[in-house]
Amino acid sequence: MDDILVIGAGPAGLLAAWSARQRGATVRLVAAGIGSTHVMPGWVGVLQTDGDLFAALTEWIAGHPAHPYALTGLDALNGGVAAFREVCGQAGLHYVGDPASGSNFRLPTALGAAQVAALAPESFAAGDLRQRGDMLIAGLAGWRDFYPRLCAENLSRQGYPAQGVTFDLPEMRALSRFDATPVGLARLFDRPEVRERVAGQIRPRLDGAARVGLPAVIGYVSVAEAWRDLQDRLGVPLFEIPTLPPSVPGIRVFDAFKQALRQAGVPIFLDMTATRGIVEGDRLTGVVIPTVSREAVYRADHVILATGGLYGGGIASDHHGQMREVVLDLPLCVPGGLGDWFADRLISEQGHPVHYAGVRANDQLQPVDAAGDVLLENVRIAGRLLAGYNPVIEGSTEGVLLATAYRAPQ
Amino acid sequence: MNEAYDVLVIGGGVTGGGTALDLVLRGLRVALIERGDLAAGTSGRYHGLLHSGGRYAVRDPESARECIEENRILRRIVPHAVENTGGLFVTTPYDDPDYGDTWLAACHACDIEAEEIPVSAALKLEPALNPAISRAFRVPDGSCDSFDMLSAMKAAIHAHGSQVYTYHQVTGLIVEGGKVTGARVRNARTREEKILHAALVVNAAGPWAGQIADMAGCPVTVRPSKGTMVAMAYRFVNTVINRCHPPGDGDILVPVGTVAVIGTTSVTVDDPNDTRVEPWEVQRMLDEGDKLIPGFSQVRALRAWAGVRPLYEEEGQAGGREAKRTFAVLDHASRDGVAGLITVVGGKLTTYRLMAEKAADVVCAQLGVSAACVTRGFRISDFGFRIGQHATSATALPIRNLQSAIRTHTLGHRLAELEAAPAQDGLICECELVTREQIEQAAREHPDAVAPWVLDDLRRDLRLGMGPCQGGFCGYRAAAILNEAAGLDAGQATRALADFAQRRWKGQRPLLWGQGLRQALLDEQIYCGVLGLDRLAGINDQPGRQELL
Repeated sequence: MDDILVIGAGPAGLLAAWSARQRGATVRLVAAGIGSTHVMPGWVGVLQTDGDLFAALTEWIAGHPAHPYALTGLDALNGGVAAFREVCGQAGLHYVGDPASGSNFRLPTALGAAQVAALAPESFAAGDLRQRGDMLIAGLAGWRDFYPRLCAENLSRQGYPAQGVTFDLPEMRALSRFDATPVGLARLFDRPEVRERVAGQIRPRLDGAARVGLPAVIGYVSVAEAWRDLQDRLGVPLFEIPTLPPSVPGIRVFDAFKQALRQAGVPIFLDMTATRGIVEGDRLTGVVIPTVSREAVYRADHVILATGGLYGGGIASDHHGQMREVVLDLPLCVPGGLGDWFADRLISEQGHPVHYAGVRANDQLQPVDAAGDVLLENVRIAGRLLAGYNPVIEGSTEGVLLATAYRAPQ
Repeated sequence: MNEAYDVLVIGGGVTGGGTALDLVLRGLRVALIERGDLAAGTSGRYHGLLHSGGRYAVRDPESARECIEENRILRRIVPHAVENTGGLFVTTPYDDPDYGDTWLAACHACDIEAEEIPVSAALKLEPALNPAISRAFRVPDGSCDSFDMLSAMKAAIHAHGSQVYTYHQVTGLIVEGGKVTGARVRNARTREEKILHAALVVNAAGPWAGQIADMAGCPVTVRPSKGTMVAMAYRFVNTVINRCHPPGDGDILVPVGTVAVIGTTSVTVDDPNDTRVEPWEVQRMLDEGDKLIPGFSQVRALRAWAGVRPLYEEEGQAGGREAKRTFAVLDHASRDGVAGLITVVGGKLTTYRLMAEKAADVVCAQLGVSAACVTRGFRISDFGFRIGQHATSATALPIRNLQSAIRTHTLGHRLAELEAAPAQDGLICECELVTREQIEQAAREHPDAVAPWVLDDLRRDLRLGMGPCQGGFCGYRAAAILNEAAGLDAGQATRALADFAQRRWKGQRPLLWGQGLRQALLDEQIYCGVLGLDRLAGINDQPGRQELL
């Protein structure tokens, strides 16, 4: 029997498992599969603001007492960010920026929009649009997942001067006839001779550009080395721009956590779908996971539920407008009926009400009912499964995951 | 700038397209005018069924006879758009088993080849069917792609030297001395107006026919009847399945490409533009689907849409499902004393050619043209490539249906073509196997590629974004390709992406639960989280409105 069982292998589950282990507990992580790391752009968004982050966060918490940030407090956010940085840093994946001081980065997207984030991989940082400096956006000719001209033109129209160019990479054709994936490309960039060939094509076209942006595929295994080496060969600061999933920067994060957890002695079991809990009184004493031969029961003193929300699969929904928390059948906060979940427009200022769906929790992240009474004393909720926030319009996606994951094992 | 034609045909659905083609083949110079893209109205918003006539045999034998006769003709003249699925009428536990006898006799009276087969044979043919069915009958139903039909018609019309104006709205008819002599049309994107003159105007505007006739002061009562359909992301059956009972909601299931479409509802609406899908309609489709196919409602519902039937009503007739599905050709000279205008209204997609023939007969009689109708034997499929039928060189991949043998579009055929192709072109839409080269070619041949709705037009040409991800991945790629290769600047390309994303959203919005909801959240993450589309554009699909970009 473990001290802590973590269910879920997204950013929240991974960080919760690592934080719990750091505090001395024996930990096991089980999950139905990989989580949302693979669709994350790679930066850490904490809150949408152009001003001072700490002040904005403080004000946000004051105005939103039921928000996960208000439950965990800013210390948990700072602790989560520090832990995230430590784990990634151990794998050579260095993050820069700090939500406790300063303001958000303003980073270019593949479409050429400016996205804000509190933290970014160091390989993104030179793209910060708060800094001046003409950009050369370079992409692989014929690659379907990044288009330097559209990115550069949109940046220029917003007052961030940029030019788009393409380079050729004959190896790409060999990757697969029709499907050159971001991961396949990133592996190519692990090779020094490929980097030299790319640099050789870009250098003559710098034309005074102060920095160069490439799609976020610069290296898969040796990330820091690949980025630094290509930057040296170009002779100007180099930055990555995230593009369509699967996200190489997100996969790097996943791999960093996997490595750190293994080294810390936390076993990770994927393809394990928890289907129900065994409850005695107000305690969860076991979690049932069917396998091919039997129903296995995992027992732990405490369980951290980080199974994700509607996207991650922690909440199921059906055509009758019902939602269900899939492991423990915890009561959910559901915003109205089926017709109320989404706005008529994909992009609207108010966002989609469905994002507020989730499990209510107290400030220890124990699940509670509508009256605020604790439902299961030894369970903690971390990540997107929590109710009461809209990560898309708040810009708080990664911040809430890290803050709640850090708080859950405390 | 004014232009003159023999005939203007208003309405780019199958009726208007068919009428224009019929007239062109009789030697007339025609302009076909459509306010959106071809098949953007009722023709494109249907379930894809080529009727055998069985549905109408009991209550409306005249329509049933027209259907079966035209069904046989369409298989000959548009074979590239017709899949010979065959059809079944089945008696579920919810249906009166004796109705089958009445129905079978009525089918035979209408010359429809219907035969009863053992239930065991029906279940062997379609294993997903409800095993509790008590009777089953085979009929010659089929499935039919109206986009393919209209693009081939357009190619044939062009090949004969006549004109097709898409995205041109008729803003008024020119009436001089009691005679209609032309129409004022407005380009939907540029807002430029021009006048097209003609000896005669044919009003084939479907549910909007009343509005067009009204421009010449002629009263035509069209009762718009909305029907909602849902495409399920699974081809449960390879045969069209009908309930053997008096026609009702959700009793037709049509295999179309990779999906199965269930339809429909029948709701009388005031406004022919009202294509809202109500939650009860979706629920009804799923409930009825479960009666035909156990577990139906558990499969991911991909898209919902509604079309508006143009039911024509003379004084005192029944509306909705009771209304007859035959059609009428109205000569407004004899009917209302307004010469130069003919309205063709009512009918069904299956009977479009007959409607076109009758309308063209009236036109020709008035213009003194003696040429006879030849559309019964005119193979439209010979003009059948959607775009670039000339692009049959070894290097260029055709848009769709590029095979020497004409056949319907399937994903399997597409895959075989791609694998055999010499070029190593990237797949842009992975769900529907659309390549970069196809998008570039379609954009080159698009009459107005900088229009905000260009990606939606390309969707109809290529099936771009019609698969499970509903454009989440390919939308960005296609918009960027238009920026690189089709002359769109970044603002135009970004607006096209925003327009496309919103149009795809509209069809998913009533169906967001389960796996479809998860997909929608992933798409939102791509558009907003990764690409930051929300930071560039206030999305607006109103044509012509300039947004913040």
